Amino acid sequence: MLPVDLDFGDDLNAFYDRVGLKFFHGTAAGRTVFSGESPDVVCHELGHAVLDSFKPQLFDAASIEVAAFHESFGDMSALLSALQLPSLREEVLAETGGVLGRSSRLSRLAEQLGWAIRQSVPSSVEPDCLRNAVNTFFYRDPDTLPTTAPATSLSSEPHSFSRGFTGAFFEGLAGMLATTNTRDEAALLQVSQDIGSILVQGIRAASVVPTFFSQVAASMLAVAAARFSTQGYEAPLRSGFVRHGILPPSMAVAATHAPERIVAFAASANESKTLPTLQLSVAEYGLGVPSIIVYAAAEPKRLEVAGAALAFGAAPSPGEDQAAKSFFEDLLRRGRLKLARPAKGAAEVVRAAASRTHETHTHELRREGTHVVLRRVRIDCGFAHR
Amino acid sequence: MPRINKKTLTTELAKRGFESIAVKRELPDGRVEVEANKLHPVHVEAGESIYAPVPLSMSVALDARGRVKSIDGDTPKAAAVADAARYIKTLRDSGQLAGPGERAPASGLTHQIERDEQGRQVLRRRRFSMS
Repeated sequence: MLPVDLDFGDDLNAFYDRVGLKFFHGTAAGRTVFSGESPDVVCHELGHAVLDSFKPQLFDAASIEVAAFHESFGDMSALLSALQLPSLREEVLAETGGVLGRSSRLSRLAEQLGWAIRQSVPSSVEPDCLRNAVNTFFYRDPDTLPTTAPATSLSSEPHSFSRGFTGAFFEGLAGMLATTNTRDEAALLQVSQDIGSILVQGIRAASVVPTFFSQVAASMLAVAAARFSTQGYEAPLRSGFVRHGILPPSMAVAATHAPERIVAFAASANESKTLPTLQLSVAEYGLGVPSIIVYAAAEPKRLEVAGAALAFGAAPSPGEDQAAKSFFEDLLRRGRLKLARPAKGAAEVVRAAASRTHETHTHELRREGTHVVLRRVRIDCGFAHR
Repeated sequence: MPRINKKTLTTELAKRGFESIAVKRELPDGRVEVEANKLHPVHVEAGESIYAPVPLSMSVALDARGRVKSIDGDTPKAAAVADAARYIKTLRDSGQLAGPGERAPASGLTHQIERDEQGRQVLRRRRFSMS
């Protein structure tokens, strides 16, 4: 039994404290807002309680990522709970044109509470909600982040830092829907329940360590590979985690592979040391080729770029191998590389929100003689950040 | 190989100062993998130490009667302790941490510093909040 107090006092907030759930009322711009009226807020708090019931060691753990994951789980609970309503599924699919990865009333969490907070502290919340699961936050070591920041930036504060994982999860969900044949509300219900199962199993398997995000993500990929292989959920989940930096591509691939693949990965890493400067080892990405050729002329600016130093001049430039690898991995993360015949388990990033009417990748791997060559095929000037 | 009694093991580990104990699995060599939190001193500003529950994973060897014989990994790793220090700073900077003796946490506060029976300052979560 978990007692619920729907109006515990005056505040723009809600709590879970192992005693019960507590909601509040608050006044902003002449309007009174009750946090307990928001399904998102209620399900977020209940999510804390659910996670606490099967992973109680997280409650007290003094760890930024662990605390942030608890917040992310609250938001993910709100998202998945909302998707159990047929009317909301239909409305969201209509609102997004079937592309779930677009910002919608589903992804915008706690719009009313966010509005109320915005009246007094505009920079602390999103422009149209409290937090948005559709975001582009990329993982950073929390030790490198400020402890507080406006909502537009990541900080190590748990609610702020949680958004990277939530964004990856939501992108995975959107991609999973895109793998279904019908992409309709029935399919959306099914994938919402499947990803919930994957999430919970992944959390159960994850070790509680400072880098908890990656632990959960890797476990989720392993669960998806082992128990949902016929549905093809691995690729979209992996894409979400890679695009948000929760897992590097090589680890995202390795997470779903048998140990012998990991051994092969280690072997290929050694092999790369003997390669010519612009011959890149890419075996760890599971592309079906051990290495590729990158022509400097194909991407001159990217391969020759050097960032500015804080004081003056250019910052130390990475070696050509490193720069090329960085560029290649960047293409993977952003879903801009088309694989002619991707190998099973390849680190191909599926862009859930990519247009269905035209291709949006910018690069291809082409076989030219005995080599596989990275070639740019277009410059995408689209404004869409997806 | 001793039969694992999770309740007995948990009780024994709790007596040794471990909290939030989760018995994960039995290892091939008969040891038991356990995750738990351990109160560990974390140095924060001005030489102050706060005991924080730091997560760790350890392997426990049991004797023939199923009692704890030895524990490997019962000290938090340096990275986890550094994470805890950063966490406390974040809580303070973002106004989520109440000091010892302060009344029930006000809006936005999620944690409190308590004095335990040994006189130590201990970080304790009181609740999760929405924002």
